[in-house]
Amino acid sequence: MLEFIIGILAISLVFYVVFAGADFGAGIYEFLSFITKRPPRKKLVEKAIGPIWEANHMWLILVVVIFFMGFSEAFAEFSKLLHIPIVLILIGISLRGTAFAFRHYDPIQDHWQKKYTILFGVSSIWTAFWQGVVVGALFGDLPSQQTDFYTTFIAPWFTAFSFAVGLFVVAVYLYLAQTFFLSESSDDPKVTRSIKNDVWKSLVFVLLTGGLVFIVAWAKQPKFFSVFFGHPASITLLVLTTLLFFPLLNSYKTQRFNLARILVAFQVAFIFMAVLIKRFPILLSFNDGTIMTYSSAAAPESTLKQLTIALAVGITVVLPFLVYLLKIFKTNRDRE
Amino acid sequence: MDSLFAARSTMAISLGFHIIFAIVGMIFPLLMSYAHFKWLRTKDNDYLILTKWWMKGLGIFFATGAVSGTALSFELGLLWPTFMKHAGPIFGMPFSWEGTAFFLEAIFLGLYLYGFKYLRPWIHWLTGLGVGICGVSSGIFVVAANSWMNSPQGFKWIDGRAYDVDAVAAMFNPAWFSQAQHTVITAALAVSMGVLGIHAYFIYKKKNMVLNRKAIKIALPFFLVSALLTPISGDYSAKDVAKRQPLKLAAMEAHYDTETRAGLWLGGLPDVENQTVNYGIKLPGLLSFLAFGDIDAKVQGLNDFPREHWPPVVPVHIAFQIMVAVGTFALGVAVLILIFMLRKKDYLKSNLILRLLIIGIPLGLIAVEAGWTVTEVGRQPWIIYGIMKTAEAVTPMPGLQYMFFTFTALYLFLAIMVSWLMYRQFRLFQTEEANNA
Repeated sequence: MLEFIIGILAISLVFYVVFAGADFGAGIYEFLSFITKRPPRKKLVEKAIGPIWEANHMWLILVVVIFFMGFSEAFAEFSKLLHIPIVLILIGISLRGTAFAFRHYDPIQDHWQKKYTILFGVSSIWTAFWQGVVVGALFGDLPSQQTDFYTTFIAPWFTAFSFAVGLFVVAVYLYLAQTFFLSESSDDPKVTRSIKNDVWKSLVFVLLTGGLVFIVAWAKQPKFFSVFFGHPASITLLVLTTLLFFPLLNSYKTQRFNLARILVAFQVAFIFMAVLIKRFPILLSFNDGTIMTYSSAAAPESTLKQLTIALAVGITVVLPFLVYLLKIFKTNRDRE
Repeated sequence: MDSLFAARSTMAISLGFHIIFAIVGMIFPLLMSYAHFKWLRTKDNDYLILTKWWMKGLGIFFATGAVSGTALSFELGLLWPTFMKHAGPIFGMPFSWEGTAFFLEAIFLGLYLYGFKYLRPWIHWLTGLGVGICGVSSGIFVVAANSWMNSPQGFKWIDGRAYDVDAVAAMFNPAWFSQAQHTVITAALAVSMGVLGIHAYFIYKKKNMVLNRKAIKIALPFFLVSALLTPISGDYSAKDVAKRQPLKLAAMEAHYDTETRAGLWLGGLPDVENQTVNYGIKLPGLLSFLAFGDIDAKVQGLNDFPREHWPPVVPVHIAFQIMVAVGTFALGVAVLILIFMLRKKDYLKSNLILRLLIIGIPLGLIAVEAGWTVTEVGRQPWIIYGIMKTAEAVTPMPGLQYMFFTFTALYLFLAIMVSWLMYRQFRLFQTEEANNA
């Protein structure tokens, strides 16, 4: 039961990163092309994420629900200590979602469109960055005792490592979005070419920020670093991620962008899985050496049983419709 | 501003903001589906225009509701970590079902809003109906979590820890049905009142009468049914509160001393220090009758309970009065319209009815806010009724007033934006209709 719940939690996290991450990346990408005054990507963004972003966002709701019910002790603990960056994420999520909806549904297309675009772009970058900061903080040691304000509520996330992870997440989301866009823009070779150029740039950005995460981890977070390379499954996933670059580069060259989309999704999923597995079974660790594992934070057996039932039924009901949604809007086929 | 007050205010503003979008997300898709259905059946273009206008509104309201709901779910942990730590495993079950309903709702919404070109007409219509059905279901599920806070069960509480947790018993708590039925019925009332009022305004201003008449005909059945049901539903709720939370009822009624043949206050401003109510009219025996169906029944007063367990009497009493007043107003308007209909007279030619409907635009929403004030403030000082005090649950994080200011600014900004977008939509609605007419 616990294994099933952890499995669904991991899948939800990975799906959120891959799908909602690409939606965030779309906002980041649009904003970057907006400030460099290149042809606007607005239409492409609307087409690519309009029908699906709200469904993609639901993976986060699922994650919260699992924490609520299944691991409420951990939820309470990190909500308390990471209060500030979580609030910053929530502000970003709220502004970003509404800015996108406002822009789309504003009946009058005037200079306000520009304002929505700026808000949508800035809040996309903002949210992605703070999500990375929270993830980074969750891999560090949290204070076990409440002392002064700084040590308890700032220090856990105000670290070079967290900020490096924040940048890395921004880069990964951007890279994901651009690759996803390639297959959406296939009807206009000029657009495709320019996005392809951008993919290379953001790939460099991913590698640089990823390198930064490793360097900071090596210098500041030895625990993260050693276990990352100590776990066979994590290493396997990292090797796989690297190997996937070969077919990926080939698919870019041969314009098989749907394949590229899937490969990149797998790469990101693998990196994220490697991190989760490396950390398993620890949920949170504290600076006095104590840890909170999935099983120590788990709700009573009877609750886990109900959560398992709800998740099993929920996934069974939701998945077919989700596949239908993606099929309808991602196969580029109008009924007319 | 102390921590507890700041946390409660943040929660209040977040819930108060979210609830408007939540009820619109529940009921509005049903109205829209009805218009869409009429278009598919009659091929009357007016219904298509109406459906498309309402879709735009839904798109804005759903997105705002989804993000403010996300913020709320995190806020439970950010503001009340001690509560979540203990309560999560007990009352988390309705959230897990709500999650499924909400997920489906978002999928259907995507299919519906963008599906005109892609889906077969009736499949497309079904996805719109699905948004409404999932919206209502997720509302019903999430109310189970709130009703558990009012009537906690499904665990044993020993020395500040929960044992023998039974999530199923917690979800099917005794207050669930009473709260859920009242939430759904009054959501239908508030949203249909808003829609009726807006279209009544256009008729009042003599703008595209044909289209607006059709819009009113769609919303009217929702309004009539919910307005007639609301008093019954409210009465059921009040009796339930009288049984389980006598202290809340006493605060709602500013009822200080236990008595038989207890009177019901109409209006009035409670003076808690002197234990009186000023500027109100007391109807003898009516409180006993409303609470227990017997004018001689004994109704417990506030003084039966320790003072530190009293909820804030003034806001609860006032909120209750507002809610009842709006319910009565809606019932009156509904009866008036029914009389017109029975006499086969055109109610939309009556300026009185049009004016009443226009006045009604914000009233339903105000009543919903008031109703949640009664439920939530009336439960204070408890977060889990009789088990855990709100003060024990609050986060130790200092400086919560900044969070309150931040969220107030955020929701104020979003409220202004949504209102402004609606205004733009109405302005265009008029001109475009003028072109069509």
